[in-house]
Amino acid sequence: MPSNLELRFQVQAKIRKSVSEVFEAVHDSAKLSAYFTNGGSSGSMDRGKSIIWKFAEFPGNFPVNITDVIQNRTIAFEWSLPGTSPVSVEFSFEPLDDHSTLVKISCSGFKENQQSLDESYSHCSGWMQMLCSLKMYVEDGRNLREFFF
Amino acid sequence: MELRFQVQAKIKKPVGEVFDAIYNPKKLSVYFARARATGPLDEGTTVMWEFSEFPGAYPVYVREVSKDKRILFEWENTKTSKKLRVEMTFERLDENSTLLKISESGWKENEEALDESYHHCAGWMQMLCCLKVYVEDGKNLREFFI
Repeated sequence: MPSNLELRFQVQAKIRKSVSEVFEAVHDSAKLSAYFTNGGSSGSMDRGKSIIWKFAEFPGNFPVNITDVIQNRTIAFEWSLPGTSPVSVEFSFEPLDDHSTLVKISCSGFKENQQSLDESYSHCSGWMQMLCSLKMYVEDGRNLREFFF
Repeated sequence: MELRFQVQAKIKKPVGEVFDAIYNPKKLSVYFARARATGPLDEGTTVMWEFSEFPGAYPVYVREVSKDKRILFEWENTKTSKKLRVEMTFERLDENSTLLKISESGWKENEEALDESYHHCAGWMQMLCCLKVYVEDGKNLREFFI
């Protein structure tokens, strides 16, 4: 069907930790690498910076260009997987009360073809896996990404 | 474009335990269909899943089951009234670990179906995470999530 499909999605999770703790678990490269960038992250997520993410299960360098950061509220960046066009990702952090947070991740910028659609599903499930891992990390100190992929 | 996806996870439990955590409605109801699953996933049966976070009951038509290997079922896409096909395959990695893959297909090609397919894609990955945490740690990850 030739309709114009816009390939974008959003995933979300509630986490039983304060918004500042949840934000820092994404912003701080050492914390992020404890459950997500398990091959290392070259720096914290500060506005205007370009950093490199690595993953133990997937070879290569993943450049991340951070376009906007508002402490405890937003982290926005563009990144691309080897051989693919860059996509935009935005994290939003919303306090539900003093001890819990709603995190949303939205992703857009995929081209409209089968290969991009397949990639977008991988990103979609990947970000949901990241949210589960983030939740387990800050709530229980457990690394869910270990022995997963 | 064909709207279909696959998600997967490795789990540190024998394939028999991982299979039963999905097949057995008492276990499945703990971490996935939090409200209720009306019966085990036996071939040829129709069971109902209810989710505490979403209204309504979802009929699940169990088409093929091969113990410790595969579960194939169909369920409705309420928005497009088309049946969706879900296949779960259980692969023994060694005596104490399992690779579980879940694939889903059958959507029409329109914006509403695309949005729902992303929702299911994330949902099945969330289910895999909850299953892993349930059988490995006994924690219910789905509590306070959605």
